[in-house]
Amino acid sequence: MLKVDSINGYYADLHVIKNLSLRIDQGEVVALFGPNGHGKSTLLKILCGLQHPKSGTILFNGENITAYPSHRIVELGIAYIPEARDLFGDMTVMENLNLGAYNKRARHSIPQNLEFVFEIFPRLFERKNQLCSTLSGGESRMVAVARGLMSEPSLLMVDEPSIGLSPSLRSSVFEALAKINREKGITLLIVEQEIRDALSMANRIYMIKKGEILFEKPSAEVDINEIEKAYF
Amino acid sequence: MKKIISNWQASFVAAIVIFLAAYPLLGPSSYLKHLFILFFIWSVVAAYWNLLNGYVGINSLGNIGFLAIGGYTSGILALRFGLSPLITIPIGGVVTGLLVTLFLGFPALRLSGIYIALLTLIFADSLPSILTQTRDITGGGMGLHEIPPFFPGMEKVHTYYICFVFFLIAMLILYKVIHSKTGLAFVAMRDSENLANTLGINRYQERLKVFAISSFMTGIAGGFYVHSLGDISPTTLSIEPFLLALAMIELGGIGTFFGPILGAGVIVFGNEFLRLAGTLRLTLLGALICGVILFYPGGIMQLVEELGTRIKVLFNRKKVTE
Repeated sequence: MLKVDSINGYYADLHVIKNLSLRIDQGEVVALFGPNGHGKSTLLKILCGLQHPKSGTILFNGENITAYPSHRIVELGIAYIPEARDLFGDMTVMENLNLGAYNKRARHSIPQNLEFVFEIFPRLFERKNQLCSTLSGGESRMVAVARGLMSEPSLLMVDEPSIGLSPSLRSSVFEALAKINREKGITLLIVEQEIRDALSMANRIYMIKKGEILFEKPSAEVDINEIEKAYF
Repeated sequence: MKKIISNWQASFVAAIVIFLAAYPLLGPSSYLKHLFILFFIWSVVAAYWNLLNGYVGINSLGNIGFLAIGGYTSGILALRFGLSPLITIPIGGVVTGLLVTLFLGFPALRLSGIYIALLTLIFADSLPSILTQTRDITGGGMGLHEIPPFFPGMEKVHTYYICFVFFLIAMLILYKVIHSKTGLAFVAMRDSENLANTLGINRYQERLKVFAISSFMTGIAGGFYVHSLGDISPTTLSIEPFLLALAMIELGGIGTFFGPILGAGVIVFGNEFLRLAGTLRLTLLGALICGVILFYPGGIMQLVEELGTRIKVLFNRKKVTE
């Protein structure tokens, strides 16, 4: 589905992504681990077209999207959910969700997508007319994920879904992500620091360090100590 | 009662609209009607300026230029070719929309922040010299005079109603735009352009759209301006109207729907009534603007909202004690 071939990416002048290759297959849940500042978020930004790699290619369903601007990538079916509270605070929950469905493809299926989103996050239905700036941290994450789903993606990339959440909220966010994968067959790429939670739902993991893939394994074969060691 | 209070803003707006519709029946002087006409036109100019600056975050300083292009186009066509203003005003709007999208919209795709401000300022600032150089068509420094009104032989009260209807329609369109998906996309781009892009919003397309909408409507307002007042000259583009129009947006509340309308009201009427103060007029207006910026940076709308929450709190407290 997504095939990344030896890309090089920069954060300002820093060479943070070095000759990195990875692939994601249809229907998979892939987790991406790695210490802070080692290129995970930059990689996601490159994949969603906010930045462009200096070299290498990115293929999505066989189409070369390396140089595409992000609004075209969304239209092809890749949704990116940025880290932390990246919502439009002056807009209501509903307006944020509607913005998620801005691309031409998703506009036609807003009612069905809304129904699914409210089924996973019933709390958002209660708060649909509330301003996003008044939501709690957990609710903000839900809106961010829901807004991504409204674009009707086939690949959903989530940057640290659990950051700043309490353990119980964390597990409900992970449950929601698992449900999205199971019921809609949406492929997931999750960047996470909460290794145990992410490991339990992922099919495969990539460990990234200093901008390179350290190793790639099916999650069943992963020894958690091995990951923890890689962090230091 | 409860409904009136919870919807007090809507009730207030309805009351104002009814007042404006009935006002000429109270038999005001021609001068007061003239002020209201100015208020209607400047409200539209300020509101669509605010669409660019307040909603999309494009720092345009050239909207007075849009007004002038629309006004001159419509005025010249009506005066020199004898066309009806009903035709020339829309033509003025289209010409303004095309010129602005071409000369500002496209370059602005590659610019941001202060550079757009400079580009638009230069655009508006270059118009007076163009106008004085093309005396045969535009009347040069003297401008155009005796531009025909909307219909031959009409009176001030007719002009009042025509401008009032234009004001209502323009505001309705603006309201629809702001509350549409496009409007949401505009605000999204202002708040975080990268995030907006990852939601599938094409920044180039949206920027062209907003320049086209803002300039088309301001150009139309320019048409109403010349056919209501009868003349236009390069002084329309001088520093004073420019600053007053910006003050309307700032004073009323940038990025709000009603702000520029309120601001236009205060500036148009304040500016006229302060003529009694002679040369102190601009000083007093300046002091008012400084005061608002210091104490209410969100403009009059901030004050209105604070009052609104206080009324609600007061009303709720009463209910509890009952």
